[in-house]
Amino acid sequence: MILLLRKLTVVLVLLSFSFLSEKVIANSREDAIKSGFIYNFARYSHGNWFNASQQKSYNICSFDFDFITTATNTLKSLSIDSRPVNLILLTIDNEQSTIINCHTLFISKEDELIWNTLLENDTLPQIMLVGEFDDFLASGGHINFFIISGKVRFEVAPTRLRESGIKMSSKVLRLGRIYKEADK
Amino acid sequence: MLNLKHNHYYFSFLFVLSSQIFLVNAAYAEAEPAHLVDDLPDLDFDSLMAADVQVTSAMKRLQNKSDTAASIYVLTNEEIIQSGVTSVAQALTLVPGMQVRKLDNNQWAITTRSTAGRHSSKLLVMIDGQSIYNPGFAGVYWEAINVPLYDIERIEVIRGQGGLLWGSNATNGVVHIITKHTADTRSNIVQVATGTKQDYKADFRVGGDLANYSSFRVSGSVEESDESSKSQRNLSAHDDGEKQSLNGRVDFNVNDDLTLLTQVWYNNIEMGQNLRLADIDTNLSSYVEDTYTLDYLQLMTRLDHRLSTDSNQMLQVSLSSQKGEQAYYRDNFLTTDIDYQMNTLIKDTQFDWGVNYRYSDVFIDETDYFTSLSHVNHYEHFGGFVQVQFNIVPDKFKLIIGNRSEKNSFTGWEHQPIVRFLWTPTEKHTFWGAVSQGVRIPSFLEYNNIARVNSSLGIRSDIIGNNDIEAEKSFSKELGYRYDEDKWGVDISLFHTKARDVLVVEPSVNADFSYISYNFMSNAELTTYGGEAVVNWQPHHQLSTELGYSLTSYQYDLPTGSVAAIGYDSYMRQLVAKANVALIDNHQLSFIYRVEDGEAYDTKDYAVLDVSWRWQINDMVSFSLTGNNLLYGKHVEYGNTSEAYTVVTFIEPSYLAQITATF
Repeated sequence: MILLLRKLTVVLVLLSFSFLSEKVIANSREDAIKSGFIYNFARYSHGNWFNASQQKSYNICSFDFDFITTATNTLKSLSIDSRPVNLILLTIDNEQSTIINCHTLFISKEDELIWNTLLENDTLPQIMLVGEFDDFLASGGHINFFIISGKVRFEVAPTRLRESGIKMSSKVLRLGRIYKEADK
Repeated sequence: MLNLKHNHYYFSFLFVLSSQIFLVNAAYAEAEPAHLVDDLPDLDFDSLMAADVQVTSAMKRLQNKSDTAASIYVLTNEEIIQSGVTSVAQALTLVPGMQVRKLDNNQWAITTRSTAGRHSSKLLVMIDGQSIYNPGFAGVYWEAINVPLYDIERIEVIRGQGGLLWGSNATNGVVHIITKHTADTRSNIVQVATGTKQDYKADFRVGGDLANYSSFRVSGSVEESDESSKSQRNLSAHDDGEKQSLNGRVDFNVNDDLTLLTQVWYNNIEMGQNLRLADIDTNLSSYVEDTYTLDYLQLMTRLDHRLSTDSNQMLQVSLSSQKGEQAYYRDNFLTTDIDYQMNTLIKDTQFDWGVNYRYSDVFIDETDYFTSLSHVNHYEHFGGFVQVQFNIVPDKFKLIIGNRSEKNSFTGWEHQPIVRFLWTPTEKHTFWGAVSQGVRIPSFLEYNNIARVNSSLGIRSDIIGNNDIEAEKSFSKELGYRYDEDKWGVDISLFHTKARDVLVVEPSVNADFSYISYNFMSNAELTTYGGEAVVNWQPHHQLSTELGYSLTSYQYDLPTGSVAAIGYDSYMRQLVAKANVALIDNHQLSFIYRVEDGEAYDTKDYAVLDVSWRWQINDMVSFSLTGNNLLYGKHVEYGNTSEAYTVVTFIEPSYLAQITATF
């Protein structure tokens, strides 16, 4: 028995090395789940950041090609306040002219540098800001995704959302972690 | 004692294998099949919160119902809460095809596709991947499962041998209780209940955040149940009881890809029961009132690691300690389990494998009724499984081949191969089939103990264990069909299982008629066949209904002079009708009507109605009123007098009021 436990210990130590690997990038399924959350964030919010009577569509934008491809498939035929959901791929070239049409902007972890540039330029309109990396909320974002035990969860900065004209349903707020700016 | 000297080679080989698989998988990581995205659940919040970011799953969980080639049923937290049930055992009455029989106010006999017994089970029961069973009789003390229902994410039930790869003794099925992640239980709850069979029950939960998205919860409960009014015999029912529990769980989030779960469960039970024992002097039946105590401690820790977008691994170590005391039986177990599992997707092929090791220290005190045959005081087994899922025609046809091989202290190496297919000709139609061999390893009592039982002739009588007993092997064929529409669906399963080396008892009388021995043998055959059909229909968004029907036939082929050890030739039929109605202003009604028919339990057929009304008074407070076992009156649900020692009580209508505050 002792011999076996010793052998097992060696095996477990060896296995533990394989538990220390680099971070995994998001796959399509993860993007699809996140796009579903983003759709619901908009569904369960109200405010003057999106006035359905004056808009032809609800526009979700991102600089991430893979995310836009997946989200377009996942959210096809869906609508918010009777307006179809539209996915828009932003590029550095068209960002200035297009971002003003966005209602939600998703910043993937690959686009952290672009996010920093947007903050420096201070060109963001009244828009729902969703990200997926450390310090996204600390730097001014509204909602941030994280993964725990293989599932997508999110944290929300409700005060900042309100400042952007977005009032999120208490049901959604209860599902997420509340980011307290005073703590940071 | 097992010869384990080559174990390090075995584990080293598997470790090297896992590394190679990871490297191969990493090379293919970018070639992600499109169907992985298409099988997402609905886009409502609850479904998204429950969705795994990978199709591979490190824990022993189902991915989704439509993608599983087995007869499955998933009980959601919402349905459990709405139905007004108060325990995991009672929640299983909501599952069509589950045999759930109440012995008295505390004790249960539960299984599926077979006859349930208090001390016999071929059902693998797990909480968060940790097997919970009493190694003495390889069954489950259902009354000791005291998981707060509001902390259960879902209960996955597999009827039949579809869960063989998840562990031993799963030939009848698997019940897997999956609790919520602590990130989803960060609120505090206080709940109190009282009723006609429940003096009081008080529960609490405290949940909260820790640094780096980690979180915790602590919960506990105390309860005292009342006595029934009538026993099967002319006795006081004596089935009141007390329970206390304290549970804790912490989920450490190292990063997005690595989490460490640690949880502990402690339960203390003290409850009354009536027993039928042999009088020490006369050997005749003697009915006695007994107080049965059980201390039950479980510790579990698990590392979940996402290796790549399509690969993950899991290492789980758990300890389980049980100390029980009854008038005829005193036991003390300490079981250690180590499980490692890896799940990988290589292009369209999913490859799952794992290794496991279990060691149990077993101390069964010698009493007037129990003695040891060969003084064995430990049990161990180890082994592993491999399963490969070929996506032969993408999104249309899958072939799944797997095998679990384990070596155990009692019968040596045992193998459980399984071949399954899943055919989805169109999005709404799914056909599946499976051929498998399952194994039931003899329990400690069947292997090593002598149990004294009563005799109507007044002759000393013992049930004798057998060191040469074989594992029971079940060869099962299953077929299933599912149809899913937005508002309704159909799920049908058929099965035929033929088991050999089945446990029987062979009576023998000595020459001067002063001693009868009932010797355990494993030389019978058992054929079971039947099926389950479930139709669900949601005619309106405020009304959901379900109708389930199941049939099981149980036929022994016994050697001359022997009798069946578990159940007897019989059939069972069951009808379950359920309805959930969402009324105005946060009021909900739940109806469950169950008809049980057949002679398997030597009882009259019966039909009972459970009704629950739930009122969400405001965001914080809810109130529920539940009536169980209505319409039919007092009835016996379990009359198997061949099961030694057990004396049941009459199950009566009961009412329970409960108030829950969440803040």
